[in-house]
Amino acid sequence: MSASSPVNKPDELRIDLDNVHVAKPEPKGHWPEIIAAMIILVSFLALSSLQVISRYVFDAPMVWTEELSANLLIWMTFFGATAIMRSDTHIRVEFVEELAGPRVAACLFAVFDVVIIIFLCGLVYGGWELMSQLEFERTPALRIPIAWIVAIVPISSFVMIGYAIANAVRRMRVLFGKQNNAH
Amino acid sequence: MHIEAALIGLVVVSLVLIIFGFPVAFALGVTAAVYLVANDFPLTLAVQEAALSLNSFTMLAIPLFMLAGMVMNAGKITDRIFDFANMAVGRIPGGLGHVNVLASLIFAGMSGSVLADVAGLGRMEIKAMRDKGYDTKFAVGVTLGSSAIGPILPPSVPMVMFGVIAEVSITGLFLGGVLPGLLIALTLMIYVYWVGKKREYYITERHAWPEILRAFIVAFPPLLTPFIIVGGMTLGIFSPTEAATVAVLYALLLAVVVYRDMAWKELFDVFREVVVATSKLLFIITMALLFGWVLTVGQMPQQLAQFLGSLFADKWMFLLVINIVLLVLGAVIENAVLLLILAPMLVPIAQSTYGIDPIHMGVVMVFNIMIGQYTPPMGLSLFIMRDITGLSLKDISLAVAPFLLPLIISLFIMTYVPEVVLWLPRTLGF
Repeated sequence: MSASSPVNKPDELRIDLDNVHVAKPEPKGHWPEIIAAMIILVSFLALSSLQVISRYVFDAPMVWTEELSANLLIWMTFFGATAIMRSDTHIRVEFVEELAGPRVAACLFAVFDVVIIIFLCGLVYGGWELMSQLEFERTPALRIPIAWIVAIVPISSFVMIGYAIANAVRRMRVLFGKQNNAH
Repeated sequence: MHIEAALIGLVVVSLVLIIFGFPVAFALGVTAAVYLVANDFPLTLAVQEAALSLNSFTMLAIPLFMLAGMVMNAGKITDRIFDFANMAVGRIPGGLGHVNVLASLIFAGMSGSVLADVAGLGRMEIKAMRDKGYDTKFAVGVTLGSSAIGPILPPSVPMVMFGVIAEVSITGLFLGGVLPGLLIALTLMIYVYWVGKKREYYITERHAWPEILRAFIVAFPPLLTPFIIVGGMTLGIFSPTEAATVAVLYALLLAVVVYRDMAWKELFDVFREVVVATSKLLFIITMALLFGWVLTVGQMPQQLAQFLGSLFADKWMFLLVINIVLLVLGAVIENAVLLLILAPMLVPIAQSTYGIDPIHMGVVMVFNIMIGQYTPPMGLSLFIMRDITGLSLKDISLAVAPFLLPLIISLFIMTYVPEVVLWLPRTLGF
C-alpha cells in the first residue's frame, strides 16, 4: 500500500498497483505464429509507406501494394488467432468462473472446447474444398492464386485443433484437482 | 413480426453461449455454421465469407491505429501528456480528476482505442490519485469514464469499422467525432468538479508560467498528431490507412528520435502486443461478418427494417428506442460484434425512413456501444482494469457506475442536437 502521503484518507478498497499479477499469460515472444504475424504487421507499415512515397515523391501510384496488404490481413488475423488459442486467451465472459468457481467453469469450458474442435474440423474441411474450387482464380493486380489466400483458414484451423485439445486436457486436470485454476 | 424463427433462435443461442463463457468469436462462428449446415449450404461458403470478407485495404487502418497508440504509450509520451495536463487543469477543484480527463482527451487524439487508454494512462493516473488521497473508486471510475473519449475523438478504431461496414465516409465520421469528444470531456469535468468540491480533494500546487510553458512545449509534438491525421484526411492527402501509417511513423519518430525513450526490445514487445490485440479483435470481426452475412442470407435486416419502420412514426422516437436497446445490448455483447452486425442493418433504415444522416447515426451508435465497455458482464475495459488493479469486476463496475450518468447525458445531447455531430463535417464539406 502506498499510504505514505499525509493526505491519504481511509479507503474501502485495498489495491497494490506495484504487485499485481492477475494478468493472464499472453502469447510469448518467440512462438512461430506470433513472429509470422509480426512480420506481416511490419510489412503493412512498409507497403503502406511505399505507397505514400511512390505517390507523392515519385508521382507514380501503385496498385499492387493495397492488394497485397489487404490479402495479408487475413493471414495475420489467423496466425494471431492461432497464438491466442495456444495461450487460451480468446475473449470470453468470465462470470461463470466468478460466480460458480473454477471447477464448474473448467467443466463447462471443456465442453465448449469440444464444440470448438468440431467447428474447426468443419473449417479445415470447408477450406480444403474451397481451395480446390478456387484453383484457377487469381487476384487482379498481382495474379496471386486466391486459393493461397484462403489456405490460411484450413492450415491455422488444423493447428488450432491441437491447441484446443491441449486446452481441454488442461481443464480436465483442473477438474480432477491437480491445479486450482481454469487457465 | 415476420422474422424467421430460426434466425431469432440463432441470435438467442449465440447470446446465451457468450454469456456462459463461450469464446465470443467462436460462439458467432459455430452458430452461423450450424445454421448454414441445417439449411443445406456448403461449408465452403462459411470459409469464403470468413476469409475473404476481411479483404479490405481500409480495415488495415485498425492494426495501424492501434500500433500508433501503443508506440506512444511505450515511448513514455503519455508521461509528458500527464505532466502537462496536471499543470493545465490540476488547480481546478476536483484536481487530478480533471487531469485524468484532459490527459485522456489528448491521448484520444493519438490513439484509436479505449483499451490503449486504460492500459497506458490508467495505471499512472490511478497511482497518482491514490497517492494524493483520492478514493480508489473515484480514481478507477474517472479513469474508465474518461477513456470513453478515445473511440469518439479521431482517430478511432470503431469509427473505421463502422465506416467500412456501413459504407460511410471515414473522414466524415472522424470530423463528426471532434465536438462530441469535447462534449464528453466537458460533462465529465462538470461531474468531477461537483464531487471534488464536495469531498475537498487535493488540488495540484501552483506552478509558475515558465514551468507550464515548458511542459506545454515538451507535450506539443504529440498534440499535433490528430491535426496531422484528420487534416491530411480532410484535405484528401491520405486515405484512412495511409493516415494511420503516417501516425505510426510519427509516433516512432517521437519515441525513438525526439524523446529517445524507447529501446529496440520495447519496440519488439509493442509489435507483439499489437499483433495479439488486433488479432483478437480481427478474429472476432471475421466471425461477426460471417454471422452478419448469415443473417442477411435469411433476410433478417430487411424484415427488421420493415418491422421497425412500422413501429415508430418519427425519428426522435426511433433514436430513443435505438439508444435504449443499444445500451442494454452493449452490456451483454462485445462491442465490435454489436457494431458490425447492427450498423449495416440500422444505417439504411435510419437514412431512408427517418432521414437521419449516416454520420450522425454513426457517431451516436459508436458512442452508445462504447458505453457498453463499462457495464458487466461483457465490458472489455472492466477486464483490463481488473488486470491492472487486481480489483474484482464487481468493485470496478460499481466504481464506474456514477460516471455513466455524464456519459449518458452526453449521448442524449449528441442524439437530439445533431448539429453537435454534424456542424464540423458539414462546414468542411462532408
